Amino acid sequence: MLIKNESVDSCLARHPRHAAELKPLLEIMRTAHTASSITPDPSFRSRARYEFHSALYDNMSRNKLPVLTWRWRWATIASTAGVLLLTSTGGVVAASSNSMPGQPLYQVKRTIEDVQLTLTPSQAAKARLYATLADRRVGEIIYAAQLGDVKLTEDLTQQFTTNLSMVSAIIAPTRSLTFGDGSKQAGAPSSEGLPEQSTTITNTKSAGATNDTNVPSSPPPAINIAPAPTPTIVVPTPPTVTVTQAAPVPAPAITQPQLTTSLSGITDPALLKLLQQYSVKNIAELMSILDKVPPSVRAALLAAIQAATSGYGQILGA
Amino acid sequence: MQDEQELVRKAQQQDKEAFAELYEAYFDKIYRYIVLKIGDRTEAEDMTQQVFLKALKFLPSYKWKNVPFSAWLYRIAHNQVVDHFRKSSRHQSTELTEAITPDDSDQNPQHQIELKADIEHLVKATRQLTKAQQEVIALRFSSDLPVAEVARLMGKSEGAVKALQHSAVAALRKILVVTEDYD
Repeated sequence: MLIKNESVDSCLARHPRHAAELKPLLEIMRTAHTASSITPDPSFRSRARYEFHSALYDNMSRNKLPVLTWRWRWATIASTAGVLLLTSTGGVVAASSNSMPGQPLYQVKRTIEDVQLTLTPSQAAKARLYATLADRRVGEIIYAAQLGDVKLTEDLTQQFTTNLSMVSAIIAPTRSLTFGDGSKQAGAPSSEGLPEQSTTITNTKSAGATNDTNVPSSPPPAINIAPAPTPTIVVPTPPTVTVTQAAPVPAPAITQPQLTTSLSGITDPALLKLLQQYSVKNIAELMSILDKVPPSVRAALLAAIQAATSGYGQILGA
Repeated sequence: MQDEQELVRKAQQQDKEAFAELYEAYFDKIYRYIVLKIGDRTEAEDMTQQVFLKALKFLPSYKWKNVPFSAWLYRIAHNQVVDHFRKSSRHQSTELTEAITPDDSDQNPQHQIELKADIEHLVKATRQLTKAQQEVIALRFSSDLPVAEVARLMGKSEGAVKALQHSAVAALRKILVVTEDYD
């Protein structure tokens, strides 16, 4: 009943002999199911996402060097030092910055990006860097789409939306971005030990929790009930685009985000300029290849276009 | 979401996007589970964040055992809840309705008000159940987990979970009827 969202009456109609007994129970179960409507506050969600992603980057950047034999570690350090040495001449950095997924220097490119994120101290500079990384992902999405690699296109689109979400989380922590596919993205670990990995949730005796057969706990103290305003988040609806696989796809009528000089949340002129440039360029470039990529990847490419339109549009206040 | 085992494997190999995807998939569910158990929004927010930070910290030692990754997350969340009750000698009352932010896709204000009232009564009533009954209600109805998965999480048979669910629903019915009589 809950899964199919049926009414209590339609369920009872299938069990007429037990209807009298079932009805009150089904009504309670329907009430209990309202708990699935509980969602986190949007500002908390954005804040938590930003903190989590920061911890994620810190954690994984710290764990990059494998704990292997000293020979391997020295080899890694030596090669990294070599990269850094060459970095001073700009050669490898320049070469890697243009590398694409699957190419030899692509991992160097991503490692350098991680290092840059870790070393960027100010939030403003981080926002600009995330915007730039999102732009790079678009270039890679185009590459992947032209190869006809659906999975890679989807993965890179996800990474692109993550980068835009990080920009949004920095400039407007109370806002969550919604992307064209309906997915939402928003924006210090405890040192307590973790119990042994077990998939069983039990009321363990060591925790002092009550036994399953205990009498119900005493009634809880009164809970203050105060009406709370429901936060309304208005998100611009991305345009619907239809794809015909067999025939050439006409350029969809996707409205470019309206760019104004007075935009809430973006106080950094350099960031504003970057986002304006990237949004126009990236959406146009993605759309330009739509009828040039293999049919199998068009849906993934459209999803990327919708994500770019939604993401940039919301950040720039369209 | 990609195959979960594959995502976990990638996350363990330092793939940030893979773990980010797991985070997005389970964040709301873990929050819902915790807030239903403790009824305190602020604490639930902190604890939800701690669940994922702990998962991040201990992910390298996680071993896939043919159960959903969520089982591990719920285990961490459960332990957070147990620790919370152990540390706080009294259950703090709080602005519970602030935790109750129904899915805002439904813009009908009247419906939202009714939904909030339903949830408020439900949370208060749930606190009067046994711990096992609360667990079943939280996992089955707020997290929408199937009986089989709840059974795995609780270390019980599916039959036992169904029996617990039945007794929990019957108990809730008595509590909510009594509450309505006094309203």
